[in-house]
Amino acid sequence: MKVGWLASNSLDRHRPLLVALQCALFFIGVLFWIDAMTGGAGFEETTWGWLAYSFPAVGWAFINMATSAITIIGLMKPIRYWMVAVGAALHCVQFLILSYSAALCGGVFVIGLYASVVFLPLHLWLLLEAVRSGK
Amino acid sequence: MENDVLQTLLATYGAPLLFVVFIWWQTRGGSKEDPGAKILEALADLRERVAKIEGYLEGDK
Repeated sequence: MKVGWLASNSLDRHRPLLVALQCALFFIGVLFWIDAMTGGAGFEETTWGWLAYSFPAVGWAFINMATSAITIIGLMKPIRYWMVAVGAALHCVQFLILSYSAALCGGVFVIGLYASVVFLPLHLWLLLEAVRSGK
Repeated sequence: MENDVLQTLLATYGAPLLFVVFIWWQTRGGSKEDPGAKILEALADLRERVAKIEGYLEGDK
């Protein structure tokens, strides 16, 4: 049996770690939401770039909480692959826009690197595995 | 005055709390999907294949 570096059962195998990651992202979304609702300065154009800043901070926080919640629910046993796929796809779009905005639209370049080099590939992998396993 | 405080609290903590309740509601007691159904389906498929192979072997005799 051929097993590549992306094993077909990796969603099952790494499920606890992936749930922990999504819970952490959900918690970040919650803190971001509270900060935005209480008029905090956690979201600035000089950090995230003009593209991300053109969308309100509460919107980003809401999307972050919603996508993480969908992915957490999907990853609970027995895994609901379509929910993991939808959550991961939305995360990918979010990180793609954030990384582009931070790196190329006047934001902090390192923020863009974290979004594009760490979070985007991780969620792409999650998306591919969920689509492949859910067939 | 009290209404203002309540509204502020709801606006600030309402959405996160709703999401937490949503996650709990969706995951309580596990999913309604039967995890054993897929195994039984695969087993039935396997039995069918074995019967087919046995049929071929019988034909060879």
